Amino acid sequence: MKINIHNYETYFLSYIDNELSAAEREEVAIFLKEYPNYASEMALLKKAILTPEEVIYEDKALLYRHPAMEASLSPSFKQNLYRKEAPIVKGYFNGTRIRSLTALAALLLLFVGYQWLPQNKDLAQGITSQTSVALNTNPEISNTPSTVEMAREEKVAAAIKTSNTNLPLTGSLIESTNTHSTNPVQEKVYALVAEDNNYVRAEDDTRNALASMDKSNNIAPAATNIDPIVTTTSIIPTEETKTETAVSYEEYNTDNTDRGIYIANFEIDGDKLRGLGRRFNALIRKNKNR
Amino acid sequence: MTDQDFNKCVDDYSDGVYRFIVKNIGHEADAQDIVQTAFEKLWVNRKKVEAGKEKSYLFTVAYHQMIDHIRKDKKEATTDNFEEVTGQVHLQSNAELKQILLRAINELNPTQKSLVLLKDYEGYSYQEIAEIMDLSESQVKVYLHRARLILKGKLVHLEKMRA
Repeated sequence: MKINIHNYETYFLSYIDNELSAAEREEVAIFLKEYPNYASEMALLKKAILTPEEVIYEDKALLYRHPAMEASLSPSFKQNLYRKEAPIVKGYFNGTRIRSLTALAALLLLFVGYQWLPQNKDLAQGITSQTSVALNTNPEISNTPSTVEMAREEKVAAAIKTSNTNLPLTGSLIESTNTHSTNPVQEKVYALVAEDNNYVRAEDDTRNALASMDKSNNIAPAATNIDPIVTTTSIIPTEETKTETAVSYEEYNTDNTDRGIYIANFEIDGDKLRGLGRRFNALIRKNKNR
Repeated sequence: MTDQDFNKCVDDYSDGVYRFIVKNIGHEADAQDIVQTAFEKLWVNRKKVEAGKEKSYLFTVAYHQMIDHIRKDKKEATTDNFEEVTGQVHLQSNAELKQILLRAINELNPTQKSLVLLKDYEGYSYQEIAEIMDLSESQVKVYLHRARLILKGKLVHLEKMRA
């Protein structure tokens, strides 16, 4: 398409923008010769072109790059800044394994505790029943199992009996010996209780006493008569034995065991805990007062 | 691109980029910041920029930075009332014409202004301007011609005022 009066403006604008080829520029020149009245139009458009003016950017120094600046960004320098994560060493007992082993151990502990707990309860119940039986059959202490305390009680009872049996043998009136006979009996009983060295002798005495009792059946009424004396004289030892049995009873007392706290298979003494609690409360009160 | 090549680019193109920006936004400090950003980007992307394309890369970056700046600040260039000014000015010399044209350019929209500046100051072709401004070549041609006609209209109005 050639330049004409309808499209001359586009040609003119492209001309001043220097976007026309040499041939097109020649066409424009020819058109202007043919239509000189459009020359003013071209002149006006040429005036609308900005002439470059000198503008200087004064802060070039801020833009320059220097080798020293480059050195700070060199790969070798960057290498020093890089961070590497330390390799994770997986040991035999790593987290997962420890957790699984702990869980296994806990399960095993629970299972063993569960299995052991009923037996423990039975054992505790058996002990308490035995003690109750022993307490009920207190007069027949000689039939109880041969613990050291039981043996001592047995010895005491035997000694009493022997002393009782000896009383009629030694003669004189029962009433007259009533007051005097208590002292030797007590002494013997205390001696037997206090001295462990006389254990064998006491056993021998008891055997002799039993043998003599078997032999002298006729003396039995006399011995029975002496029963009040025995009872009077044996008050102190029987109390002692009672207290001893009471102590042993308290150890197996089911009421006291209630104070104990069972955690898994371990028992914690409730009394000690209570004492600790009291001390702790006292400490708190003291601090509050301060 | 070595640091020496880069410094040569600073010597050769920083003035032109700065002029292009400062004529567009009319604010020297902001123009300096934009120029600095453009050269920093050139350095960062020096391996990606083809040899011989540094100037157009700088103008491209600077132009987009300028557009962002205009959008953010919505800072209009100082536009005195052209009518009032032209009414007082008599076209007695090229210097006066230049002043009038600069004021008339400030009335153009940023795209038209950039087109005129890139064409008249830097001498870029339509194709190069299209690459810098992310436009098609035909768009550049149409928009630029429209801007020229606006400027011509201002001059015609001025001529009539003189007459």
